[in-house]
Amino acid sequence: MTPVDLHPDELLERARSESLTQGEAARLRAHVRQCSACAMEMAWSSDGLDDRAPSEEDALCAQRVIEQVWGSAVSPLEHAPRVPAPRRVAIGGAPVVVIGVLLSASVAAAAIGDSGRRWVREQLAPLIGAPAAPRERPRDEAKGVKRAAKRVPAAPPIVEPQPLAASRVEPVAIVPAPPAAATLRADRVAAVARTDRTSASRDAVASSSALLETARSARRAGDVRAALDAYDALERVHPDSRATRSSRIAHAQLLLDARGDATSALALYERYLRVSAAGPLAEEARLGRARSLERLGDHTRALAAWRELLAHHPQSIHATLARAQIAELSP
Amino acid sequence: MFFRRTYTSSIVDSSPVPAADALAVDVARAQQGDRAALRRVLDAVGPDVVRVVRAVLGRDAAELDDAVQESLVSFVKALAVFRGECSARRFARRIATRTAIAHGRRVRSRAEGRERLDESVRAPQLMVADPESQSLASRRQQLLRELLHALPLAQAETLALRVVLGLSLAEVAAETNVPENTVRSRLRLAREALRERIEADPELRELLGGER
Repeated sequence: MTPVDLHPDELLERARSESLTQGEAARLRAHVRQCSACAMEMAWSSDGLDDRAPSEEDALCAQRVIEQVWGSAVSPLEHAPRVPAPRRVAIGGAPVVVIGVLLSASVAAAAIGDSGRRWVREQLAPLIGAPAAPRERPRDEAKGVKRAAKRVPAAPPIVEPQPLAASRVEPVAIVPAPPAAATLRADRVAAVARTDRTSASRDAVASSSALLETARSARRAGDVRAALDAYDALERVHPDSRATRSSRIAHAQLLLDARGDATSALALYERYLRVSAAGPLAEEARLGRARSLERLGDHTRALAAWRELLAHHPQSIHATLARAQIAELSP
Repeated sequence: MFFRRTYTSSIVDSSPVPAADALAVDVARAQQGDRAALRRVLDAVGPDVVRVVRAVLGRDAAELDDAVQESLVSFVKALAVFRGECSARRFARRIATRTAIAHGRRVRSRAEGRERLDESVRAPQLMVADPESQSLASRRQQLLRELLHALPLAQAETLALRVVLGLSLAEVAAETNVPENTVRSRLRLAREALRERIEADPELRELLGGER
C-alpha cells in the first residue's frame, strides 16, 4: 500500500462541509494531486451529485410516477395486501416474508426485462388500491357465487383461451368524449387494430407500448370500455409482446371485476400460466383462475385451483383466503 | 477551492433522530393501512427517490420511470418493517440507491446480451461515442454509473452511498450494517478500480479538469 492508497476520508468529509483548516486543505490538495480517484470523488461532489435536495424537475417526475402507479389501482383487488402494523410484524415473523417479497421483486423484475415497469405498477396497485375491507369480500362473493351456481345447475362451459374478438373495438363516432387522463382512446385503438402485424413490425415495440399506455390511461380514468378495447387490441396485434404478457393479468382482472366476464378472464389467466407458469404474476394468475372458476360455478376445478395456489405459493398473502375456500368447497 | 457548492444544513435530512422525522405520524398511519397517509408519505419521499435514481442511472435514462416505480414499490413493501431508525426520506433514499444500482445492472446486462447477439456491434465502451457533445460534468457522472455497474455490489453500494447520498463513513457503516473499517476497505477497493480506469485513459483524466 502506497501513501496514495491512504485516502484521507475524514478530510474529504470535512471538505464537503468546507470546514478544513488551511493545513488540512493543503494536505488534501497534496493527496489529490497524486490520487485521481479522490480527485474524481471531489469532482463528483462539485457536480452536485451528492446534493440531497431534489430539484423541481425531480418533484414533477415523482408526482407523475406516483400518479401513474396510484391511478392504476382501478381494479378492485379484494385480496390486496396491507402494509401490516409493526407490532403484528414482530409477532408474526413477517419480516422474513417481506424480505422474500423484496427478493422476489428483484428477481421478477430482472426476469421480465423491459416489462418491469408494468410489473411493478401492477405490484404496487394492490398495495395502494385496496378497498377499505378487502378480506371479507371475496368469501362473501364466493358464497354468493356458490349459491347462484346451485340455483343454476348447468355451469357455463370453460373455454380454451382464444384470441379476443375484434368486435370490442368500437367505431370512433359512438365513443364518448375521453376523460382528460385518457390521452389515447378507441379511435387510436381502432387504427392500431387495423394495422396488420407485418406492417407494424418496424414499430411493434412502440405500438404495444402505446396501446398499453392507452389501456392504463383509460383504466385510471375509469373508462372500462376503452381500457378493454386497448387490451383487446394488444392481444390481437401483439399477442407475444412483453407488454401484452405483463398486462394480461390486469386485463383479466378488469374483465372479471368490472365486466363480470369470468369466461374471458379465465382464458387470459390460463394463457398467462401456460406461457409464464413461474412468472412474476403467476400468483395473481392462480388467484384469478380460482376466482373465475368459482364465479363460473365450477366448484371442482375451483377447489383444484385454490389448492394449486396454495401449493405453489404457500407464503402467499392469499393463503388464508385459499385455505378458507378449500374448506368451504371441499366435499 | 475544491468545492464550489456550500452544503446547507437545512436541506440535509440525515438526522438519525426518529422523533425529528416530520413523516413519522404518516408513516405509522400508513403501516396501519391508511391509504391517505401512505399517499402523503409517497408524495414526500418521491422527489428524493427520483433524485437518487437520476444520480445513479443518469438524468435522461430511458428506464428512469421504471426504476423510480420499482424503488417506490420496494419502499412501500419495506415500510412494513420500518422501525424509524432514521427518517423516512433517508430510508427511501437508501432503498432507491440499492434499487437503482440493481436496476442499472439488469439493464446493462440485457443490453450487453443483445449486443453479443449482434457481432457487428462493438463491445460497449466506457465512454459514450461522442464525448465532445457532453459536458465534463455529465461525462463524469457517466463514468460513475459505469463504475457502479462494474464494481462488486458491496463496493458499488458503498460508493453510491458515499458519493450519491453524501453519507459519512459512520453513516455508510450504519446503513450497510458493517464496521467502519469495512467501509474504508470497500471504498479503497472502489477507488483503486476507479484510479486504474482513469490512469489508463487520457480522456478520463481530462474529465478531472481543474480538480487536479
